[in-house]
Amino acid sequence: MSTSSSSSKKIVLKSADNETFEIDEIVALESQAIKNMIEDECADNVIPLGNIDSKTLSKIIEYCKKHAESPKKDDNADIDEKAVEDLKSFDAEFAKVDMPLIQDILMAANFLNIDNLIGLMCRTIADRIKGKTPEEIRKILNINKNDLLSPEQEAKAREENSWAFD
Amino acid sequence: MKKSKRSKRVDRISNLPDSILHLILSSLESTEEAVRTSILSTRWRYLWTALPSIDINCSRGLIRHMTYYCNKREFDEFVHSVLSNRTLGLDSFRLCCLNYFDMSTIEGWIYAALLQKPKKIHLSFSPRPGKNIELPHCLVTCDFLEVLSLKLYRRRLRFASMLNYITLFPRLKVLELNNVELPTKPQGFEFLERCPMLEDLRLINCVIKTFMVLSISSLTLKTLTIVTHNLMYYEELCDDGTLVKKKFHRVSIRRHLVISCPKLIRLEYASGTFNYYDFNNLDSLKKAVIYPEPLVAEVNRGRLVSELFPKVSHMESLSINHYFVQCSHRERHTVFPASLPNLKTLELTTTIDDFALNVLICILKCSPNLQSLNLTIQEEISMTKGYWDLDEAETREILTRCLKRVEFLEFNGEKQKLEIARFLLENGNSLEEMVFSWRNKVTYLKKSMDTMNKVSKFDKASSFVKLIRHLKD
Repeated sequence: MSTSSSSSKKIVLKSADNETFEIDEIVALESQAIKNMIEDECADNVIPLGNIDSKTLSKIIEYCKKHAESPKKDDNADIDEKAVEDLKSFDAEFAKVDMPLIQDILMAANFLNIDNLIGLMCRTIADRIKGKTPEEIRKILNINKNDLLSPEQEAKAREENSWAFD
Repeated sequence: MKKSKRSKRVDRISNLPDSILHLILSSLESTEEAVRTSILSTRWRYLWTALPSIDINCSRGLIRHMTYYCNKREFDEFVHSVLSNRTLGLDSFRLCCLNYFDMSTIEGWIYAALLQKPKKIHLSFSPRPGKNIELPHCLVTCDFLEVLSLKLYRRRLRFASMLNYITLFPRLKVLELNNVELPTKPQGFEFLERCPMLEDLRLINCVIKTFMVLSISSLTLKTLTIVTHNLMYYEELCDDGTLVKKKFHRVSIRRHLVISCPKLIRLEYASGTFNYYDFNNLDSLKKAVIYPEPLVAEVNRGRLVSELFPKVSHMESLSINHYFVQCSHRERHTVFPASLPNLKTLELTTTIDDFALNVLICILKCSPNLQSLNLTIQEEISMTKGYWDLDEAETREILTRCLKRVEFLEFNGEKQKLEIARFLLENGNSLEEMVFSWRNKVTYLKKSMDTMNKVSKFDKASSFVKLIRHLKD
């Protein structure tokens, strides 16, 4: 997959549907979980990710590549404003996907421990449920119908904070 | 095929750990919106009680109802419910209740909030009836609060009573007073000296009504910001809770700003509130942003300049606006120090009038170690007698020696500005960026490409200069 210089170390990720992705180590290090595996030297040449499908994984790699090549915020040095702007618009474009994929990415990012991506997906979900009725939110998030409050419980919850529900 | 698979998918969101769901709730606009998720399902029932920040604004309720009616009892109960149903520590409490409540109700909320030991409190209120506001004892003495921000819609804070305490705000680092009427007595701000940790004081859109001396004296303060965003209008609350804009009166009375802060590193002053200045003990100052504005009719426009320069001659970074340049021009023979030996960065907003160039050259001449000069060239506002005269070789050398960035504001392809641009490009050998901010969409579309083509053909002393054009707003 990767086209960058052959001198840098490569990591191979394998998705649930057995597709392999060869990426630069620096890109893989965006994931705290993979970073830990590499540091503990328990990563073989190929890291199997049995719970992430190839569609989700390629999205995540796209994100990590972009963020790996951008200057880090915590470097404390002068941050290039344009780089920050550029990253912002990348993130905005990246998040323009349907809700099932957002959830896939969020779960994978949680598993791989990629903080920035978790934050981006959470903000995206919040944006989509903002100003919506509970019924609409349940539909958007596919909330489990067996887990709903009883009418009495719901009435009580509304009563407790009636100002928020008016 | 895929669709049917997805419609059958399980509720994966609800299986994520609490910390992730809290992140989603924290990204919602307000606490009331987060609270509304409590009826989604049993999984979501109490998630909101662990959010690190509370942000309640009664005016959002008003918008919801499309009327200026606030159900006060429900609102009061809501604030208390949110504050008492907590399952994790609170980091920040933000509340805006306009002028719907009396001080005792507001004190009740402050007390309830402090039980959760937040580090930050932001309050916007204007209690009824309209008396001066006294901060409750529990707030003034609490030993965990690090940031306090008060927006009081031009109410006066009773600072005098704070002098009953030996130590105020034991942990407070940041104090922001927004739209507060400042005390009229000279000792009004003495309480600052009793705040042992205060590092950052911000007076935003604060007002004064009568003659006064504002004396800011602190041994701990590192950052001081005095900013008036809108010099023409201020916000006042009507009885029904609507905000109206009122015009400032122009008055010519003496308003004296005294600053004595030996640890102050950064000073930002962008206001027309004061017309007399005393700066003492500014030995640590490194960065000054000085944007005076001619709000009050001033008899002594040069005072700020003549007071500032000798006292802060060791600063490293200075930003000044065009009015400062005008003030400096009047006193250019007396105000400039022999040297600004540490000055490395100078940002200056100017016009291309000849007097502005004189001032700029004066400052540059006394800054032998300058590394970076950023010029913002704004629309001419005075009926100018002449434009920058750049015939002299010495002037050209001084002006362009450290020039890094030039931005033309309100650019409209004017011939004089293009001449200046050509000159700066031909001579500025360390120039990194030249920006043309066009103000008019029609001329931008019609002329900006042509203009840029012209500019790109100018000789350039710097091999790495970037030419940028854009339309403002």
